[in-house]
Amino acid sequence: MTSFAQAIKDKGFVVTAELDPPRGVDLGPLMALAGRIGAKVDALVVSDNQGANLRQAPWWAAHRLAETIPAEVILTLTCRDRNRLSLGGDILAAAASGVDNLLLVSGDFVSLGDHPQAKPVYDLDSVQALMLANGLAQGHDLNGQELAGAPELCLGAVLAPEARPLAPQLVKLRKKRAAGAGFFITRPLSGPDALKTFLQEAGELGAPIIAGVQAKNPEGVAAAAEMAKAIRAGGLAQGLHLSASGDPETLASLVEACGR
Amino acid sequence: MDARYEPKILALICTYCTYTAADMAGSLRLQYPPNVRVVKLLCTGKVDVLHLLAAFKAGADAVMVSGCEIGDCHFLEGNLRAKERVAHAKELIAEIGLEPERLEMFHIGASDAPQWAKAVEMMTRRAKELGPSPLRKLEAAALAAEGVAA
Amino acid sequence: MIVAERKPFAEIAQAVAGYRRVLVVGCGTCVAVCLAGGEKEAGILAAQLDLAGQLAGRQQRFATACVERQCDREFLSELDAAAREHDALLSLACGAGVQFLAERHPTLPVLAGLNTTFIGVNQDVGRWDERCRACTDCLLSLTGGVCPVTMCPKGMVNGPCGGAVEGRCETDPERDCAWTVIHARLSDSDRLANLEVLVPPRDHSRANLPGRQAHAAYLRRYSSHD
Ligand code: SF4
Ligand code: SF4
Repeated sequence: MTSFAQAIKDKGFVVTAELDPPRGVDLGPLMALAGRIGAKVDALVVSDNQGANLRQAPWWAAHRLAETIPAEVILTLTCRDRNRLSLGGDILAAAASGVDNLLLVSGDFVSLGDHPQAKPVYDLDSVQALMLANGLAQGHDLNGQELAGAPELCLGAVLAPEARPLAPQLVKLRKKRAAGAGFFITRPLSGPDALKTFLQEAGELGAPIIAGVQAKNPEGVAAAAEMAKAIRAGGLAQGLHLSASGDPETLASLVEACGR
Repeated sequence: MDARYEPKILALICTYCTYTAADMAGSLRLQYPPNVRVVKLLCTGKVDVLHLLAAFKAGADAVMVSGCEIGDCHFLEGNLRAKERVAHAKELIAEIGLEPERLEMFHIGASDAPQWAKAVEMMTRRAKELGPSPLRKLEAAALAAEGVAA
Repeated sequence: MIVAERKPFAEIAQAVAGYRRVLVVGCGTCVAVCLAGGEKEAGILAAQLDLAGQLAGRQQRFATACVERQCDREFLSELDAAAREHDALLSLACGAGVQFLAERHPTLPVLAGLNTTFIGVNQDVGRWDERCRACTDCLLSLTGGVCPVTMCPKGMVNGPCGGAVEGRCETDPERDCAWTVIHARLSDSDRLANLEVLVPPRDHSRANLPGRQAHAAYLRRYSSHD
């Protein structure tokens, strides 16, 4: 079991925060922000070409964070930008570099980002990416061929509690569970009620839910913190995932307000 | 522009409405420019995009298609089809670099002789403003080169 | 059917600019139905090119021909004599037809007048919608007759992504999320259990290479003589 999986199990409630790698080579600001918030969260989630916009590949930041920050690191990998060879290779490299927690997502479509002309990959969907990673953790690739040494991995997936109709989402959710998702991070929520409604409709998931709480700007921090409190007090989730649309100061104050 | 330039305009008009109007314009001795050459069709629904392109190829400075008023087509929707084809042909001639204004669709009822006279006047004025079709000039130059009087 | 659209006129005009005698070759099957490359469209394009050539002061002649299908040798052979009378062939077939024509006339420039866009259906007069990506492993029996490979921009085969908003696709609020439609269709036809099937990663090995197939009867008749 990776230490993040252990943390979810032991603590019962975890806090994660989302960091976007830079649109250039300087990792300094990201490391500085991580230094400020690292002790107040259980894990830092490094995004992958967030919103289909070009950024530094997340494995480098993830590796540097794992080396220097006490918090756990979760590496996001999209199916949008990688085929199965590349996904598998990146997962093995990440594990080798000390990053063993993964958030495997389909990824926002290319038309939403800054390179709408790009050819999207989607060789695998997020369920199949989980199957791939789960297989690697068991020592074999998608074709059942053995690896020289299996990584220990903790696998996460995304959950969209507010998507409607919900029924198709629940199908996907069950498959993600079956394919090896050990935790779910939700998309940013509109409020605690949205999560409550979802839980009533979805029933028992069999895996911890980390509720997405987003502040878009410094003014939004208070409301987001309020929502986080309500989610925690209501026992609606097993954790919080804090994000701030890429604004470091907003994220720092949000973590200040909701972190450990 | 050459002051002696007199545009050549082809009019493709239907027998039931516009032609009747044109005929009546004659009986009423209405005055309108003599630049227009009329081709009478059973219905403007007969007009094909290829005919319109062929007219410009043959040296027309402008082409007008005129059918019945909307809703009055003797064949119900021939004039609507003509309208679509004229719109399409305008795009096609624009693509090759010819002014789309050289081509126009009209709807003139059988009793509307003054309307016909006005349409011809309008098209003649427009053709004069646009100047000779570059295709016609080329045609003339080719004929001159062959020693034939234009 | 195969759906295609005419290339921008300027691009075609430029491609044929260097040739004196050009044969514009229509195709009477799919591209005729989608009003891009049939006999009619070949005639119109030839007339346009003719006028444009004249305007540009080029000495060019454009003739037209149309065959039933450019993707069949049987029909292409009808063009052999006419092709020899020309300096270039401008094909208004889909990409497959253009290539087959070019293969038959290796010494002649064969130019493409259309952009082949998709395999689709006729929604209405003058409107076509894509329906199939020829993925070589059809999932439609499982997915309620709605193709997740084509109708979902991400090609998700195990359920929707998280981006659907009120049943619309994250890429375009005007489009239904394919998975909303699949779910509704399977629900209406009492086949929701289909959705629980975990679809494994697709085998792309066949689609990765130029497709080739032979009918069993053909093999029975001919392979033994090889
Ligand atoms: S699954 Fe879709 S793309 Fe594949 S063959 Fe069937 S309809 Fe075509
Ligand atoms: S919203 Fe639906 S159709 Fe659009 S990409 Fe996601 S799953 Fe596919």
